[in-house]
Amino acid sequence: MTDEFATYDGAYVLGALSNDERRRFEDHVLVCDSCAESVRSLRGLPALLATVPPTVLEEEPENPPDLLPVVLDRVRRSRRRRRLVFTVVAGVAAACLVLALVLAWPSSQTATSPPTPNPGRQVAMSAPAGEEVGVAASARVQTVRWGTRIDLSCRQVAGGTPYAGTAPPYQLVIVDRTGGRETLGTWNLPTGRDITFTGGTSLPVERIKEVKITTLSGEDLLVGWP
Amino acid sequence: MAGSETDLLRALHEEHAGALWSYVVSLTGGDRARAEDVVQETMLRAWRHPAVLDQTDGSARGWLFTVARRIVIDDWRATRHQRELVTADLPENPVSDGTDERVNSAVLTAALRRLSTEHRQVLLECYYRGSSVAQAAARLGIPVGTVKSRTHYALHALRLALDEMGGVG
Repeated sequence: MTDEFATYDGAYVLGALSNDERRRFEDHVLVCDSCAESVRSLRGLPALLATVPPTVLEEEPENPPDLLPVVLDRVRRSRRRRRLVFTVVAGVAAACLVLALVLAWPSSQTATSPPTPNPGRQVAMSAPAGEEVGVAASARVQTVRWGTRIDLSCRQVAGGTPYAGTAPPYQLVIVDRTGGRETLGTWNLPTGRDITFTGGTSLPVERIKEVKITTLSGEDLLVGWP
Repeated sequence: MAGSETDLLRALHEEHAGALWSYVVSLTGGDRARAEDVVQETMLRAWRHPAVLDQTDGSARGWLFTVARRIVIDDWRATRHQRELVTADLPENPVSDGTDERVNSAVLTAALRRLSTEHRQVLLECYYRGSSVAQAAARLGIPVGTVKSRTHYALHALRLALDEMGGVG
């Protein structure tokens, strides 16, 4: 059976029930949880209604303007802008990368290569008086960033009288244009083997007058003029 | 993907544009040009929040109302701030700036405008004109029982609408 008071709550909170109906409804609410709860939920509304003018209820609500086309248009523009921003950002990033590579290229070049990448100069080494010294050699003299590098190819040859058959230590000496001497290192020469001995000096190549192979006691064996 | 987004936005507009429009017009004090801007901006922000766009249960309304309200309130405060800078007047009551009252009134207006004509009629009669149920029945030419049931449904619908919109009262 339906509750005959079930729809009284609205009229009750609005104060529109007759005195008789109001009293009967108030008695009913005391024993009906459902109606009591319903009245509680509506109780605040009349005070709220007092805050807006009755014209709000009198006027038919206006139809909203159709803003959807404008909104969709703005969505499209916004999407394009996002794409554009992405494209620009990607473009700038790519340009930065290219620029970085361009800037890095010459510096990495200078970092790994000498300023004048020449293969150096071959210098023939010969015994001063055409003696047989038992050793033959040629030197490659190369300008590097730190000075001059000397790669010496050296081997024993037959007929060398003082050191034949042995592998005495030799030393590499340079003489600069003022007559100063600098020893660049010593090495042994095994029988029947070619060796390459590398030495270096801070002197630039144009200040080197002579490259020499000498005995440890300083006796000249071979001399070259770079 | 772009197509489905557009469809979702269209559906959102279809379902909520009426209520949102009433609400924002009321918030802007009847300034329709400003209301259009606010509604557009609100819908645009909804588009940027896929979670909102995706709501199919109608709970997006609370979100839309909240966003619209923030846009309008920020606008009010910016205007007032400018005025205060110009006049260098301290507000007399810095705690209540009338913002809450304006918002509540706008929510209520929008909620009332969503009621059916029949429901609005009985509220007008029984509340604003102070009619009894019997008087309203006579004026509207409907049975007394119908006035009761309409006031019942009208107020519960109002209660529901207010709750949906982020609640006042």
